[in-house]
Amino acid sequence: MKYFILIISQLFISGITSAWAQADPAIKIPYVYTEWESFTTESTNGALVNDHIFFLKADRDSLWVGTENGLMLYHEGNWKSWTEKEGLPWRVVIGIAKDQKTGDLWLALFGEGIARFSGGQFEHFTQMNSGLLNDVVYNLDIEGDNVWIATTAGISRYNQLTGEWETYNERHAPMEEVWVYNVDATPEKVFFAVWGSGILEWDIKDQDWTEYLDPDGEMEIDLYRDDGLIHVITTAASYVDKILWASTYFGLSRYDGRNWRGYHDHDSGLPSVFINFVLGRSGSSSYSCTDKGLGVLADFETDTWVTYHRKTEDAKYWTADIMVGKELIKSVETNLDLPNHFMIAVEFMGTDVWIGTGHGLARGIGKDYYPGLR
Amino acid sequence: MARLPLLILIIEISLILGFGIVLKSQTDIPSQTDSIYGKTPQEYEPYHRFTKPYKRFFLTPLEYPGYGRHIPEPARIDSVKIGFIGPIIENVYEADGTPVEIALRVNQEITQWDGYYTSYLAPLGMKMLQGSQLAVEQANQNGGYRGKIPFQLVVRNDNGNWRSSGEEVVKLVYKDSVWAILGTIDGQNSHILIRVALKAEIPVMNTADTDPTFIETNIPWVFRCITDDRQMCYALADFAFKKLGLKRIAALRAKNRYGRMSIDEFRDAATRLGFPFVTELQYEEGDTSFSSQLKLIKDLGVDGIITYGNSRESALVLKQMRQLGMEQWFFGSDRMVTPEFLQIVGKKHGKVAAGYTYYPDSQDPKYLKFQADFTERFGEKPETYAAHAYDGMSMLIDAIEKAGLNRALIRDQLAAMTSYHGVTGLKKFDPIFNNRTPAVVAILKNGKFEFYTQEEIFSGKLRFEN
Repeated sequence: MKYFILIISQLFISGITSAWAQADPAIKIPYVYTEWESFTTESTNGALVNDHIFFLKADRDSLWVGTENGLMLYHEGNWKSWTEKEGLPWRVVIGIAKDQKTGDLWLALFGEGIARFSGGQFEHFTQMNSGLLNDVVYNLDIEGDNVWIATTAGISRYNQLTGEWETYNERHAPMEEVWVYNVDATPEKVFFAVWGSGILEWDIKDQDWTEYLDPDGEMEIDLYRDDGLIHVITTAASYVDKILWASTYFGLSRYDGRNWRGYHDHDSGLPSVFINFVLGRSGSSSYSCTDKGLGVLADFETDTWVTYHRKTEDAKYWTADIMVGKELIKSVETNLDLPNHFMIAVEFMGTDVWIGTGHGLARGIGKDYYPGLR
Repeated sequence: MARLPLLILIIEISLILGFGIVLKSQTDIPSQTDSIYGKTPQEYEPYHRFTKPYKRFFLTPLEYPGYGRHIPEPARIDSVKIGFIGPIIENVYEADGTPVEIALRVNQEITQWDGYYTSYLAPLGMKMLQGSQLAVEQANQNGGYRGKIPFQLVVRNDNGNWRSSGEEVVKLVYKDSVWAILGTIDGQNSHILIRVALKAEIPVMNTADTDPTFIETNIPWVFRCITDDRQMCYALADFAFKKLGLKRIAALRAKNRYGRMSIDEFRDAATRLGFPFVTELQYEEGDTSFSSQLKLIKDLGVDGIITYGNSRESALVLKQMRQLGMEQWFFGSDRMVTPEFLQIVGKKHGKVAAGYTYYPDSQDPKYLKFQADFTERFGEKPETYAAHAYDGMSMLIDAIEKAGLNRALIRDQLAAMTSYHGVTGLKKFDPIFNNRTPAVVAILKNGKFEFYTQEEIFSGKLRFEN
């Protein structure tokens, strides 16, 4: 009996403590996107040609959208689309990069190579008519004059000035497997998420590779949380403020050049370890697209998260859960009404955030947005 | 105040009930949830001597929480298409990539393999295709999809060249509009296939790739109905180290992904038991002479050699090993349990054992009927690739019948099949949809492979020379 009284007392105290914490005005909280605009084929009367969103790319105040059946451009409430009827070489647009120098748009076409969209015309590059390594392309990005291309058989690099193609696979780079999933090019380094081979870093100045693997070398475990990359089945890399964010289908990793930090769904605000894509907003904040919602690490130092998801299958609106580590601090209702929270893409546009799912996309209005906590 | 104890009692009861509910909800999970991944014996678990891992993966069922279930069935179709991708064409004209006699080969009933061409795996692929064809034909003889619409096998070639298999899968998904895919054999192409399937959201049934890592990717669209090299390596390691008591084993394997990945669990098991490989040497696929590697191994005084590679190379390694007077145990993979292997090694094979994926001497009526049907249809007896493809294709057809024409719902039906009684036996699937039926050990005796379960080997009734 005395144990139950003890348990009750502890629960009572903990309940009071929790209530007090929630009411405490001194506790700082992160910014929460509560106001959203949603877009589906149905809600746009067909203007959005396909609901399966693969990639989002902001272009000043416009948004390029890669879908399973076409390329879209959103600008101030208007949609424009390019499908195979309008000359798009292949229906599935899985990656988009904008060359800021030329203004050209580069498209990763899933199974049909890549395309350059310039002056309203599509120029199609395949493994049959160019030096492209493989037509199953997952992503691409621009670094200087180079277009870096992540293919299922390795990495291709196309120099737009010289027209030269370079190939990097297991023979030319430290990759045991060659299934490249994602690329993030910055002025200093280019990062690749290589399915089965972790993260590859290309140092532009040194023209050399560095590889990052899971130190325990085992597929079925993560031996220590912060010993290195969580897993070699990587899906995306994002380098910002000299911080590397790496997503896997087994959790999220952060690397500051010296220390690694791993995040699982049982020890953080991640709604799931199955992360399709990650985008760093700063060295302290990243947005993880998981199969069960959007996991936003809002403040690295305090391990504060905002998780956007549908709490139940029947929920009309998404809920934003503010968490410190795994502890729920507060739940905030939003007006986000996309019917599914299988997240595939995310992009920032100023203070706004765009998300792409398996059924529609949405824009979070960042009115009075602030980074970190306040 | 007198009511306080009663109040406390009510709260206690509520808490007990409450905890009970919590516990129930926490344990109310699908039955295939595992506590140990891959039926791994404790002594083979990574780092088990040093520490417990921070996180274990693959213990709970994979989920697909996406939108696909809401996609309506098509209004009208002429056939229910199921994709097949496998290495079925031996030769491709290098100049223009045109396959040789593709139509003939796809429809040909009896295929004789006469050498190495573009695809080393074409003979196995043809068996896989025949098993798939038989399952589809029998389903159509029973009326087809829901007794109304015929199933159609859409066949595409995977010639072992990394550059083509991914595109073939994309075509199956987006141009052929198949509902599910069966394939393939080679580990590289299988991985490419499932990465496409993940993005395109389509179920994939694998019946022939035994690479353990194939399934260790957390993709909720991938299923495998053949026992993998993890199970086969455990069975072989148990036999070599625990039953025979060997301690010094050398590896001589193919220098390709199959050789590298499939031997992995045997190598780890050997190390964790305290008997790391004395050496690990390689050969190129298609090599015919292994004397230089074997002479090196001979000088090391080993008491066993293990190989992982194709049937022909494995046989030549064994033959040359015996010619050098090396009479040690020779271990290998299921790929060497073939008539070709037996033909090359002849009668002076010595002590030979291999892991194997099922019990081919089964007297299960279902298996006997399949053997009879297959022999009648193709004029030859089925082997492992045909039998497992028949099972995998039958599972796909069952799932489509139950789910209807929706890829996500077909996936759900496959995920719900925690066990399946196929022609290759009773299969039990783990939370990541991998067949975890224990492997058997094939032991060569008098020019013929005999198959033993783990229980039989360790029963004490069998004696083996070490």
